[in-house]
Order: sequence, then structure tokens, then C-alpha cells
Amino acid sequence: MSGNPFVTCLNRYTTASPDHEAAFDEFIGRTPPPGGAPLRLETCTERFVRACYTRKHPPSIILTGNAGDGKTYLCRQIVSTFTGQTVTEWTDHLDWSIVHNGLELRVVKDLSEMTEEASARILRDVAANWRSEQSRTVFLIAANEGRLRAVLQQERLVVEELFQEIDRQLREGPALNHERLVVLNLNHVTTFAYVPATLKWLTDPGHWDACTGCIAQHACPIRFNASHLANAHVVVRLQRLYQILEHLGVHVTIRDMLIHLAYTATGGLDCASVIARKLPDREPRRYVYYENVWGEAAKDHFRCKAVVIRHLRRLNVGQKSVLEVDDFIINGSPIEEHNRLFAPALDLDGQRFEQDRKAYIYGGAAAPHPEEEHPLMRWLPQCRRKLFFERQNPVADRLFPFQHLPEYFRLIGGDPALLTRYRHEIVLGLNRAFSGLYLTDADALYVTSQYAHAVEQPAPLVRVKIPADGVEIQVAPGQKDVFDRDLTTLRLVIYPPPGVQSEPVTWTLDLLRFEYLLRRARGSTPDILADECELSIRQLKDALLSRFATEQQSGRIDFFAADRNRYVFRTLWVDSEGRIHI
Amino acid sequence: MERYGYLEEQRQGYPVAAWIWGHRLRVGQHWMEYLLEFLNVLAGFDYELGRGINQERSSDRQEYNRFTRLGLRRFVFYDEREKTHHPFDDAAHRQLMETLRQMCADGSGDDPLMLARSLLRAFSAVEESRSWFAKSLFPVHHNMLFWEGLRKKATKYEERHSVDRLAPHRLDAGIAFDARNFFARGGEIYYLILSAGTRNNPERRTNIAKQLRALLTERNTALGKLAEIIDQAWQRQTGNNGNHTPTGRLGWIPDPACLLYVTIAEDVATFLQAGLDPLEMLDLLAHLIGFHLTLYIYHRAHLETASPHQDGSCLDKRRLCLPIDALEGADGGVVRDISAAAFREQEDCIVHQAEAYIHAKVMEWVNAPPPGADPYAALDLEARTHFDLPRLSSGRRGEFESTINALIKRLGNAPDPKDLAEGYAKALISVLREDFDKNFKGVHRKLAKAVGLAAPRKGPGARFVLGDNLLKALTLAIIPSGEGMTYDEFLQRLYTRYGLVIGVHEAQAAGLLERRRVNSEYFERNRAALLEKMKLAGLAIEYSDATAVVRGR
Repeated sequence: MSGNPFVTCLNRYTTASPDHEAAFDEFIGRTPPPGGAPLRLETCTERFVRACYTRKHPPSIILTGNAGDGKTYLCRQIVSTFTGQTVTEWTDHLDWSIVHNGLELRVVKDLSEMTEEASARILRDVAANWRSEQSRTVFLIAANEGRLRAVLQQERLVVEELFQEIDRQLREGPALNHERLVVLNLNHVTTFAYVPATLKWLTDPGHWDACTGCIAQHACPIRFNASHLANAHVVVRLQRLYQILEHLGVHVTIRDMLIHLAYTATGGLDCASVIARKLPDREPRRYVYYENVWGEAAKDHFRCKAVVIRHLRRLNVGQKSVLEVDDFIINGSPIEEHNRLFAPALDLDGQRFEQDRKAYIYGGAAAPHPEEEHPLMRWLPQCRRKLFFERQNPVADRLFPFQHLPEYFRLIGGDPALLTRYRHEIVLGLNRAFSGLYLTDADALYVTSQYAHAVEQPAPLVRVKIPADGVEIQVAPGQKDVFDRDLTTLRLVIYPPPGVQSEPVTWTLDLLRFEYLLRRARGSTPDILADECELSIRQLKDALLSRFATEQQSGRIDFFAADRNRYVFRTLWVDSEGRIHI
Repeated sequence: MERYGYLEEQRQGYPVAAWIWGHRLRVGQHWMEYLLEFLNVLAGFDYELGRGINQERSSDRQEYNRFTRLGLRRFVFYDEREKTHHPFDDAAHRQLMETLRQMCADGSGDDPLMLARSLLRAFSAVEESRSWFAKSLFPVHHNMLFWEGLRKKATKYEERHSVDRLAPHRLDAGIAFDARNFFARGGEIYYLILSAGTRNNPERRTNIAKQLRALLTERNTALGKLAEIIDQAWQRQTGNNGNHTPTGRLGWIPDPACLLYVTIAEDVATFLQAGLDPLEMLDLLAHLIGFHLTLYIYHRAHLETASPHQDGSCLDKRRLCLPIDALEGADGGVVRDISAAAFREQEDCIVHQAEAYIHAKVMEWVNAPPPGADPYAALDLEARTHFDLPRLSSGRRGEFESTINALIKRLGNAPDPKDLAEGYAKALISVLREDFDKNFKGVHRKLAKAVGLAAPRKGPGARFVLGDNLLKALTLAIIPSGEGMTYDEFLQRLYTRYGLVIGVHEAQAAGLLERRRVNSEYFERNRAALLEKMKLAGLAIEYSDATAVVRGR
């Protein structure tokens, strides 16, 4: 009665356990967990990198990204490709060279772990290598972008060309065919592509064989989760969640994803506590997978540390009431679907949910204890989340706090007519956001500036007026050659107004910004999403002002004046003879 | 003590606040008016720093012009809802509008004028409801700069002649420009600080002046032209037989060699390179000025008396310790309490410094009496001249006299110097205290709250914070445009330059951890909270878990 060793293995991934670091080393080292094969994520990047090293003159590769993006893993793969053998010892060397086939490969496992001195020296060596034509040395460096930039800035005088090249590739994307240097920023990898593979490994029947014979297997939330997570629809929904996060601009590293999915399966419980019925939260239904996804049963500390949970909680799914969803839960029509989804099971505490529901419908909405709410109300958030995963109905998407989510996804589809139609709303939203006033004009994009502490009715000065044609919503395709970046995003391209010579300004239009602008365009108040969006909009305004604003010498003042019940664009002319006219 | 500025020969006595913090800073001045007054003085000196000092280059012009712009002001601010009506102004306004109507294109009626008026009114600078001559416009352009005015006896007018028969320049006659209710010399102090801080760096001096000139004359030229046209319409009416241009003279500041002035000048020079939209630049400059003046008050109030301000060590020895609360109560209020305590401490320091000064001065006079004179009379004479006691109300003076008489009676004819000094100082403090509390003590509080250095804006329990605008202004002032520095370096600079304590290192260096006996974890969280704020504001980028880079643009 020792429990399933796979569960112990999984628990080591969640940071709730002290063995946490060891788990990731095992993952990298591909040690098989008890009862099955190790998790193998085939990534595009890995394929690209292997291909690089089979070239006759492999380029130097610099890998940047956050902790957990897979830099160390990739290094191991590269080294094993290079030498043709798997790597055995790894931990002690910070900077080591391997010679093979006449080429020397210098591997720097983690630039951030070295002293500033040492890292500066390495970069100087890279620069020297870069300049010499006949070099037989190839570099492989893994670093965090911030540290890399800091060291490059310090050494700038010596390594100017290197700095420029690295900077360029980091900003514009890796130069895949470059002969000497390729910089791969793993921040661009979107992890939602790996969710199905990970879940498949997690729910592989081989890992769960050890559960047969366990006395608690019918009351075990972990077993329940494992069987449900194998359901294809659930996998799709989970992937959708990750995709939404990417669209919100949150980068989830592979490590974060592993932590989150492991926690989703186990809820931080282990076999011993399940068998002994000593769960921290008493009720098994709190550890169901669709509650674990949002960390409902987790402690505050874990909620803050697990990146995915922290961001998902901000989406607050299940707290908000959506009429169709609640109606289905409480009234249960269509009956067949309701009976199927809400059949007595572990997550519904057996018959308990059905009893509470019947009590509510037939017994009235008054709670048995007047100071509490009716027991059914406490089931509602959980049931909403359950339906989010298990019901195959588009209304489940309405549980997200985004009013314009479907429109956003439709725009990503790339229909040009649709893009042009939404341009009008985006321009209106931007006009209102820039000036802080309820403007109604969307024929042009007005970039305004005004006195911030105005006492009287504000009259924002129009500095730049860009006709609506000069604003385009474009679909920015993901880079699929080297990153598993299946993410199409939207971006706004604003061309300079007539008479101004400048580069157009490009601005990412992610889900959050799209939502904010559309809400403003349709009349919502600015405090919604204000924290996140307002400052990025202010930066866009500053960029437009610095690139497109010109001093108007012609004695012309453009501004918005209040005219009865709306703001109108007016112009005052002051000519050289000192006359004022409109 | 060396004084720097315009020193009037006739006047020897000043209130105690002036002897420590210069002539003068006063609580009635609105935070925006420091910027307005400073720009007016600078423009009045033709965009040159370092003028108006009557100790050096005495052939130089020592007075700055004060712009009146009555035409513009009446046009923008004088309307039916004005609270101080006067028939002269009514008549002047009528005549002005007639002239202006003729200058508009035919057929457009009143529209352009109404439009122009609402446009200019949107730049009204100060919130309070005041009479039209005391209202100010945000200085978008040089032509919108003007000095505070006051129509004397506005409400006590007796109609002697019909207004319409008066020539236009007579209508302006009753308006004086030396009132100093709102432009209370705070801007002059800032002008002097910048002048003193660039005494040894003429290049920086011309740089700052040049950029401010460019900011005020080369941007928003159309608005400036509009303001000029309106004002000129009235000026042509009054013609050359009008009042001569009023001028003004500067106040003074103590210890011009203080290094804080150099730091302030550096900040302004770096800030002006930022190249943002001019309206935003001026707004942030107003915040920066308020911040600098608050620091100036705290710096001179510091308890460390051993290092005088002349030898360049004052910045290190008198480093302030201002813990900033970035958590806003998220940690249970620990940092907030520390910060609030520090705020109270600063206020106590200010009061203490004033008292210490009085004590020191009295001691000095007692120990150096003219031979053969009555010690009381000598002391009295010194005190009266130095602190300008005749300016006080007769009631107060009477109280002072009676306290001194009691003291004389107690100590007798040959008093012990120490007792005499102590007793006399106490009497002086109690008589000067009221004026000090009323007019100076609240300046730092008002300024700090207005620029975002202290919160909450209204209510008790003030503590130090960094508001968004102030944060942006400081970032632009510390980091030259185009460069960047790591977040840790940024925090370090904030501490070495201004004494702002945010993270653990600085708290350690300031001895705050030991004094308050708190866990350093709180300051760690404080540091993280400020980084979040800066990231949201677009001032910092966090690349990976460890490195964050701060840049101004």
C-alpha cells in the first residue's frame, strides 16, 4: 500500500516539494519516471539547432530566454549531436570546450552564473572569433537577455559589431541563414503547442497501472484527474487557456507549464494523504482538475509563485455569472446533456450536488441558515468551471472576462474586409484614449496633448492628425521555421501623415489592448483595464508624437472644442497680418 | 554667512526662516506658481541665468522685467462671473473686444474670439477661484508668461468721472505688480539656486538657459502668436504713454557654494535633454522644481551642524534619509509607518533648526558685546535689527517687551551670559514662532504633497511616496536620454543624490534597519513594488528574473 510512484514523481515538479530542482534535472537528463518513458517534447527549435550543427561550418549560437525556457536542455542536445554521444556529466563546468572532427565547440552553460569579469572575457573571445575568418571555434552560449545586454553594454567599445548584430537579431528575429552567429530568443516560443504532448505523457496508462489494487482508487481525486485529463475535449480547452495567456502577452516557459500541469493532475496531494483521508481541505471535490487549473485549493504562496496560476486567476473564470451557463446548471435543460455532465461523481460529491440543486428548485431560494447563502450558490463557481472544460458549447468562452474575445479571434483569421471594418472602432478607441474625452470623430486618428491639471473645460491641442486610411490592422504571422510559434497576432501599423517623412509606427495589438480599445470605442469607462493598458497607450502616443509631430509654422492651431453636447475639431488661423479667423 | 542674490542695503532684518532658507519661501505659493514665477524671472532676464546678483558685475542690469499682458488677461479671464468687478476693467474689456472684433475676418462674427477664449482658458493654471488679475496661464509659450497683478482698492471704488471718457492707459493705472501674494519669491529662489549651482560651470549655465528659451519660444508658435495678437490689440490702445514696464529684484539664498545647488543644476540640465512634448516637459519640470525645493528645505534643516555648506562635504555628511513607501500598505503597513515617522522627523528637524539658529545667534551676541554697554540693550538692538522685530504686530511686541522686562528683573544687572542667552533666546523663539509656523512651516508639506513626494494629498498621516509623474521626472533627470542603467544602480543613485531609501542596500547604508529594527524583507518587497510600478509606467524593462534596466525613453 505504498501508493503510485508516478504521483511522487509528479509532485516533485510542483514547487510545493523540496525536491523540485531535482525533477527538472531529471527531465533534462531524460531519466524515465517509474513505470514509463520520459517526457519528450519535440520542438522546432531543437530540430533547427540539430540541423545547424550538421552543417560543415556551424554558426555560433546564443540562446536567450527566461529560466525554464529550455536553454540547458537545448545545450545538451547540441552537445550530444556534436559529439555523437549522449552527455553524461554536466554540472561542474561553466565553460568548457569539446573538440570533435577538427572543430572546437566552446560551451557556456549559463552566462549569468559567471562573474562579470569572466562573462566579459567570453564575449570578447566571441567578438575576436567573429572577426577572424579562419576560425575553427564555434560558440554555444546560454544566457538571460538582461545579463547579456548588461555585459555587452559595458564592453561596448570592444565588441561594437557583435553588440549590433546581437541587438538586431534580438529585435527583429534570428537570422537563420547567418553564417557566423545565430541568436535564438526562446521567449518567442509559445508553449501551448506542447500541452497535448505533455498531457498525453501525464495520462499514459502505463503510469497509472500501479493504482489498481489501491483501496482508495474510487475516492481518489488524483486518479479522477488522470482519467479526465485524457479526454480530448479537455485537452483542447486546456490548450485554449494557454493560448489566451499567450495572447495576453504572458510568456509561459516550459518549466512553468510542467509545474502547472503536474499540479493540475495532483493538486499537491500525495497518495498517502489520500489513502489516510487526510486532505488539507477535507473535500476531495476541491482537488478536481478543473479547480486545480486555477489553483483554488492552493495556498497563497504557491499561487503567487506558479506563474500560470497567477495569471489565470486574474481572468477570474467562474466568479462571474453568465446567464446561459447558470441557467443550464440550475434548470438543467436540455435534460440529457445535463444528466450526462452532472451524473453523480467524485467531483460533485456523489449525490450532493443533485440534492442541493433539487432543494433549491423545489424548496425555494431561501437558505436553511439565514446568515449563509444557499448551498447551491457555493456550487456555482465550481460548476461553471466544470462546464468550461467539459461542455462542448461555445457559450463556455463567455466565462472569460473579455467581451470581445470572439471578435478578436475572428480578426486573427485575417479576413481583410473584417480588418478594415474594425479599423474604424480601433481609431475611435484610440482617439478617446489619447485625449481622455468622449470624442465621436473616427475619420482620422488625432494625437493630442493638453495641460494635465486643467481647471476649466479641457481643449486638447491636436498635434498629429492621421487620416483613417493611414492606420492599418495587420495580421502578424508567427515564425514557424525555428520556433514553435503558432501564434498569429494582430498589430497596428500607423503611417506618417502626408508631408511627414518617417518610418511607420508599429504597435502590437494583443488581446488586452484590443479589448480596452473596443470597450472605449463602444462607450465603456476608462478605468476597466486601465492599469495595464493606459500606460502602453501613452507610450504609443509618445512614439507617435516624437516621430510624426512637426512644428506648424503656418499659424494654425488645431484643437477640440466643446460644442453643446459633443467635441468638435476646430481650427484657428492666425495669419501674418495679425488677423484671427477660423 | 555668505548670501547670494540681491541684497538690499536698507534692509538688515529678516524673519528667522529667511536666515536659514533664503528670502524667501512662503506657504501661500501654489506649487505650479513656483514654475510660473521661475520662468517669468528667467524670461524677464532675457533667458540668462546668473543675473540680478548685486555683488558681482554691478554694471549688469539687476532688475528683471515683469510682463503685464493686461490685454491678454482681461480677454481670457474677465467675464460676467468675475468676482472682482471694476468699472475700469469693464470699460477696458469692452474696448478690447471691439478692437479684436475688427481684427477677425469679416462675417465670422464672434466665433473666432469665443473659440480663442475657450482655447486659452483651457490653459488656466491654478485651481483656486481668484480675481482675474491673480489668475495665471500655463506657460505654453513665452507670450503667455505674465506676472501676478493686483488692482488696489478694487472694491472701494467711488465713481468720480465717467469711465468712458478716460483714456485706455488710465484704465490700467490702478493695477500694481508688486503684490507678492502668490508669486512670493519661491521662483526667484529657484532661479538663484540654478545660478549658484552653475557658477563654476558656465557651459551648463548657457545650456539650461538656451533649452528653456527654445522650449518657450520655438514650440507652439501659433498659440504664442495668438496670445501676442490679443495682447497687442490692447497695447496699441494704451500706446506709449502708458505705465512703464514694471521690474523686480531678486531675493537671496545663503551659502552659494553648497553642493546641493550643483546637483539640482545637473538634474535640470539632464532633464531638459529629454525632448518630450512641451506641455509634458513643463508639467514634469513643475514637479521637479517642487521636489528640489523640498529637498533644499530638508537639506538645510539637517541636524548635522558640523559640516558647513561651503566646503563641499555637506552632501555626504548631511545625507537625508527619506524612506519611500511603494507598497501602499500591502505589507501590513510596516514601511508606511517608517515612512510616516520619517516625515514627522523632517518636520521636527525644520522647527529644531529654526530654534537652534536663534539660540546660536543669541549666544554669539551675548559673547561679543560692545564694551561698557548695558548687555541687555546691546542684545536687544542686535535682535531687533537681525530679526526685523518692528515688523511684528504691536501686540506681539508688547508681549516680547514684558517677557524681557521679567527676564531683566530676574537676572539682575550683571547677568550670567549663559542664563541671559537662554532666557533671551526663549523669549525670541516664542515671539517669532507664530510667524514661522504660519508662513514657513507648512511649505515643505504643501510642496511635497502637490508634486507626489508625500501622500495622502489631504488628511493626516503624511508619508513619503513617489508619484507617477515625479518618478518619470526623476528618471529623466538622472538618466541622460538614450542611456540606461540597471535598476539597482538607479536605486543607488536615488539614495546618493537625494537620500531616498527604497531597497535593502540603501536602508542598510542609511542605518534604517538598525534604528527601526525591521526585517530587511520589507524593503526587499518595497523594492520589487517600485519596480512593478516603473515597469507599468514604461520606465523599466525586466529582461529576466534578475536584471531590470531603467531608461528614460
